[in-house]
Amino acid sequence: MLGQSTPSARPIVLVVEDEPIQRFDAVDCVEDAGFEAVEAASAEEAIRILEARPDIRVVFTDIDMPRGIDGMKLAAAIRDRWPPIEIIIVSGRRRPRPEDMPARGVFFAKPYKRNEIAAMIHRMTPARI
Amino acid sequence: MRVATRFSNWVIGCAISTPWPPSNQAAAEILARNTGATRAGYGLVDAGRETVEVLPDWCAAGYASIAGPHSFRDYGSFVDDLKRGEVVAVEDVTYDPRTHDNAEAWLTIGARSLLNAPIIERGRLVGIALLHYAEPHVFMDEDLAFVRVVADRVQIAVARVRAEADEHLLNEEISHRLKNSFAMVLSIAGQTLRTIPERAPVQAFEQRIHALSSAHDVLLRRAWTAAPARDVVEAVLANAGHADHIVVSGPEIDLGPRATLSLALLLHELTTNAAKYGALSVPEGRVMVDWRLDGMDGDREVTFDWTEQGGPPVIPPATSGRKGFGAWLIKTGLVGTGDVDLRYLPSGFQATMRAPLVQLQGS
Repeated sequence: MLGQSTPSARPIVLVVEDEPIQRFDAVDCVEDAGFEAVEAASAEEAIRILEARPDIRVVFTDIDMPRGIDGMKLAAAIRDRWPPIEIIIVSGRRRPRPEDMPARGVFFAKPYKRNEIAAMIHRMTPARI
Repeated sequence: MRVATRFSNWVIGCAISTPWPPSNQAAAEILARNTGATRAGYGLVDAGRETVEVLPDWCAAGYASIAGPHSFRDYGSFVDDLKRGEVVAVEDVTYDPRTHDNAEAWLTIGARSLLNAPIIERGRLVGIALLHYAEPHVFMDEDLAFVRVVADRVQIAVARVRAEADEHLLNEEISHRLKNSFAMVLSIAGQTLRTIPERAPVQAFEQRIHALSSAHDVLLRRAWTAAPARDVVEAVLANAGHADHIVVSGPEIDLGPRATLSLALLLHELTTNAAKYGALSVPEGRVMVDWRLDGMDGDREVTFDWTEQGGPPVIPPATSGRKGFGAWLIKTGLVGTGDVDLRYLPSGFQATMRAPLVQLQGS
């Protein structure tokens, strides 16, 4: 129906965070901002989700995930395999060097501010005509 | 030349070069000049593989550098002595039982006599100081003592560099865990308080934690020993998102960890108030943050001034009733002594806070 917005019309954000409480809160932050959230507890799970569904517009990932691939390698893989996807990277460690960041990638230090993350996702997902 | 004199020459030499690894040849040259060696240098040892990476060495005219990787066993069996922490003095490589089967290797690099002093780190051979002589050389006790002192000195430098590296790593780890803990606190608070309809106190809490976190960042740059006042002020203002409308000026002062955290929370409250009611609530408003040092020596006092301009008409807050936490934070001042003067002037709100420098710098 014309003019009607359905839940699936909201841009989809994949949240990748191994720490359950922080993942829960990050998902909440994304949904509060008006987006649909999909969650992954590891980079490997994130890759499987990305392979299965082509509708993800933004990946919001932590860097430090002790088991398996870290967020920086995940971001590089996404930039390589899914160039249109926007990437937000967060970490409690030092800001990555600019040359290590994926193209168009944005970094926020932990603890990040929810409103800044929300504003960035909005900026990254202009309405598609 | 006496050992003490030679050692002081060597120390002076090392002072002008990198202690470890000695990246230029100055230290090696001083070592050679004080011992009459035709070649001098240092090497990084891999004791397990029995190899040594000789760093750029100093050689007398006519002798080639041996900088680069070498295998100890290609030159004899003396590595066993080095591993035990013993100085190896070979007066003539063609006679010494530890080298005579490999004398050809030594003569090829122009060494007829050699001295190797082990550099031991945590019981493990990690390096050597080396001297080579083109002719057979009889080592005096003082030669051995000198090279021993040099090796000990280098060992201290190695231990210091390693300790600094360890401390740096530890700080990075603590920093990371601390920031993750802040993130956890905020996540738990956000979820625990999410059904509370009144959002202002929840936001105030989150913002204060962020202010505290930004002060921690500044402290961690110098391993939690001290933080430059300017960096603290700028970090807090940037965290509050008002850095563009605030002019910061003052002399360089280092603050201790406690004062850093109090100043961060206090400035955060002032900034929040200014954004709600004061100069930062309008685009043309400005705030000046400046500080100065008064007094002499042990009695020096720091005065912080917060001056708002260009804001809406100033209305002093009602004084009745229980004060909020933010107001209390401001009233308490820089070090909890309450030396704070608040002025609600027509030109804008002003605050002056004083504290003895020794208290601001204490831990």
